[in-house]
Amino acid sequence: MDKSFDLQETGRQAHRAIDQDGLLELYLGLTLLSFALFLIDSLFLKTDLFFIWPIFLFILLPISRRYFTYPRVGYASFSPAKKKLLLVLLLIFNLVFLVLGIYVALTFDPGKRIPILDLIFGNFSIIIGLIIAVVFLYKGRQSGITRFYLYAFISVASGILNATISRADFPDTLGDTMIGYSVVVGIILLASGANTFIRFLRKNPLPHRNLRDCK
Amino acid sequence: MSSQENDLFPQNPNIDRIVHAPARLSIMANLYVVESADFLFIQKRTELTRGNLSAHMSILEKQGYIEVQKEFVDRIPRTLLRLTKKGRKAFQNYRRNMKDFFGELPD
Repeated sequence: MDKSFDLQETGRQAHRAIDQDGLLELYLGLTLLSFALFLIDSLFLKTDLFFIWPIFLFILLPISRRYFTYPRVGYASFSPAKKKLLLVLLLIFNLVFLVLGIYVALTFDPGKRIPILDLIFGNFSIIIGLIIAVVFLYKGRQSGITRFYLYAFISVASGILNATISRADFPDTLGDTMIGYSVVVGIILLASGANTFIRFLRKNPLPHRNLRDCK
Repeated sequence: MSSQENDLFPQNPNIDRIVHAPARLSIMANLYVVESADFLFIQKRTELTRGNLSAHMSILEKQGYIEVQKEFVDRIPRTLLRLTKKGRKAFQNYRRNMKDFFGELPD
């Protein structure tokens, strides 16, 4: 029986049990790669066929966990207080974009450059890199899984690197800074997630359906 | 409850013997950090056998400390457990009383 009654550690172990499957990074990797495809398409091909990137994280992740993770390690839902915190953070994030959007709409002049937009678009991969790093830092702190800290570092480093390279070549373009970032981080997350997921499946064989519930 | 459990704190009526049993303490600690969890999750976390976990679940449910909900997911039965308000309070009281108990001990 588990001898640890350190509640913080118990909480971390509970999160670790679910997050050990590698599916979060696998689907985040797929999201970023499909987002890169979406950007390439909207910049060069213009077929409008790749607006599929949100389905990985928001639809396929919960479905996959239901079929692969929960039958193996069990299901747990976590504190509504933490869900509220995440919703508040998302709301703040959306509000910032809304305020920026209103500002841009009010001050828009086709012949004039908008310094704040140049600043944001030129450094967009840094902004996204930081946001994804914060998510990974939060998950790392929550579950104690060290690879999440590594992902956070890779995300920030790739964001800075891609913004710097893109600035030298094509300044002020949202797509150029984001394509490099999405491809680099997406491939790393996808490869690492797939490897973790395969190890998770090997380590946690599916128990017989009669052994998953109480007597 | 065994007489051994009753004898552990003969002079301290504040220690809840229902929570104090290691297996039940482990179940309650694991339920305390989540909103709800299914039987398999708690079994894996506590490393109890199915029979043992079921027995302790019944004691906790009878005491009103946990709520047990049976449901079907993809035609497979699933037992969902969650701490009740009473159970959460009992666990917090137990924590506080144990801290007080050990705080009173001389070095």
